[in-house]
Amino acid sequence: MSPASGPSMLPTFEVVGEWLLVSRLHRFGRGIEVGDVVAYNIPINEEMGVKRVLGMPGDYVLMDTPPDGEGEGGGGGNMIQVPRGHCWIVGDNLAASRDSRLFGPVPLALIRGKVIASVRSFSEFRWITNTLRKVDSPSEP
Amino acid sequence: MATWTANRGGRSRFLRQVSHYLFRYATWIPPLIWFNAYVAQVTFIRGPSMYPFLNPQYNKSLREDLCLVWKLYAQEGLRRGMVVTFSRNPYDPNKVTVKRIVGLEGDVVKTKHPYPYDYVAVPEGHIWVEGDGDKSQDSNYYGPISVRLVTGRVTHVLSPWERAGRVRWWEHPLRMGVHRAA
Repeated sequence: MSPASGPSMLPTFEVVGEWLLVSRLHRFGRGIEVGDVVAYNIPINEEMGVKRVLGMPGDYVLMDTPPDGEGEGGGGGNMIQVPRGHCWIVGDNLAASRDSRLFGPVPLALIRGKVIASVRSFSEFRWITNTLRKVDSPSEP
Repeated sequence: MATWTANRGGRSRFLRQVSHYLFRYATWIPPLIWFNAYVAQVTFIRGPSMYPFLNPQYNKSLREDLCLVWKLYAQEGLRRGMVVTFSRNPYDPNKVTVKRIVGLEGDVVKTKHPYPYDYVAVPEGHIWVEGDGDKSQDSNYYGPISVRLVTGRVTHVLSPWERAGRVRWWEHPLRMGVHRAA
């Protein structure tokens, strides 16, 4: 249980006043899947961050910010394969988030746990679940 | 006969003694786990990655060096030449690796064979680690590693008597080809 602040996960978490329940059973990336929200040690400074996992080892991810609806902004379309033992971590608020686009893939060993719930006040408790669903593959004829 | 009478009602006394000893010793287990994780740990070094500094006879005997790893404040005050364990080698989060620090953040290091570029500038918050021998999987394989991965430093060698003592990392010659930032 720890407080979180900052704009990087804006649609999911508020900027201030959010308390997160972190499951330490998922530390070191155990059982983490794409789409999970994780708390991790930021590799380039002494702080802790909360971001969403976009790629696990072996996945191909976009290295830069994707362009917005009008095709403006964003970087190149370079993609990399996430190396062994790493994951690609990006905030939900792409414009105000320092994440893997800045410091590259994060070692799974730096993951402290999975965010499983958020509490704003005693009345506002909600579970954080992975909203990605598997697409049913079309049956082959 | 005297002992038999002394043992009458021995079952409850037995249970009381067992629970007493359980309480006395089992309460030490969580503090010991905590101590091993955060303060200091005695551990064996496996493999040739720090040859010839540690495990100099890795190819001749099964004996492994026993080392004391100091874990308190391990990520602060890192210097070139220190022998560190970074728990959780970046490739496999469940393995612990021991290497020597070659470059700190800002240094420009001349890399060795498997690394794709000739020179690398160690980024912010990262270090460049290498094994002493040429049989090690180190930063030349996986690049600079984050300081946050460091879990301890090897401060003493305990087991082979002839080499037991402090690890005098400051007497170890610095590796050639490192342009120091500060």
